[in-house]
Amino acid sequence: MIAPESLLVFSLVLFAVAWAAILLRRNLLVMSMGIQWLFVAVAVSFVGFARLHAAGGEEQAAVRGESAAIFVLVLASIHLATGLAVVFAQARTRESSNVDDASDLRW
Amino acid sequence: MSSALILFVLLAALAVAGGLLLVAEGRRPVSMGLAYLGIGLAVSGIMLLGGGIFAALFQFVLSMAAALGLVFFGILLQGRGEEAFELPPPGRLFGKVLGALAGAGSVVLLALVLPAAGTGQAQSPAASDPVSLGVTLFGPAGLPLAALGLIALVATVGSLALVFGRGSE
Repeated sequence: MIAPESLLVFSLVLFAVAWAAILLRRNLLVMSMGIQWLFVAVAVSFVGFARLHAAGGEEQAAVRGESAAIFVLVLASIHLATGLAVVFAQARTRESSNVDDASDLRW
Repeated sequence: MSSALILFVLLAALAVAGGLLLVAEGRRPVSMGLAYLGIGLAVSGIMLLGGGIFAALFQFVLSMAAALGLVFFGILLQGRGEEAFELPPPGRLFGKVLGALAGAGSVVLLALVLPAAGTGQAQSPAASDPVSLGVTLFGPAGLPLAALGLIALVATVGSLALVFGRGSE
């Protein structure tokens, strides 16, 4: 087993990469994948904190941490389903998957 | 250095480098889906090394589903299963690979300088045992779990309606 701090550092780096994907790219697919990675980074941090609590003898808190990680991953799968459908609808109606083309609400 | 730490460093470097390359050079849905599969499996391995067995299983299934969805989406949109084998200019490709390696190297450095990074330390217990996790998920967390299932059902129906509904007139 590895140290819980390593998981937290990896979670931070993955969160930064996901944030870069959302801010730097204009393609809806890549932005959707970036949001997925945000969820995954949060789930990894929950697992890391659960390990920290388990090492400190707080078993119930560790179980709740891993349950929270599972909840976050289920939310990520829900986002995946709806996000891909939205991207597909956008590509079908506007012939483009660029987020700048979805500007109907701009005043 | 323990073998677990070496494996963690390799998987973390793979995930970060893959993510950076995807951000910099991701252009085709099919190749992006396959790259996402590799990154997702690396993250699943990291969760397994961290002791979160069930979270790793969920992440494994999620990465498979996401990769399949992206690949089918790419095929559906482009209408073909092949992609052009075009490489970017050498200088640009070298710059991007160098950047990805720098990102991966930073993860390796961070993992190596962390205190108590697994060398000579007694193994800490796993995050949770299956019985406690099951009791928690279907006991106190039963209502949120049921609500999440309902949300997933609604999201699935909504996605189908978006995909198969009429286009804008």
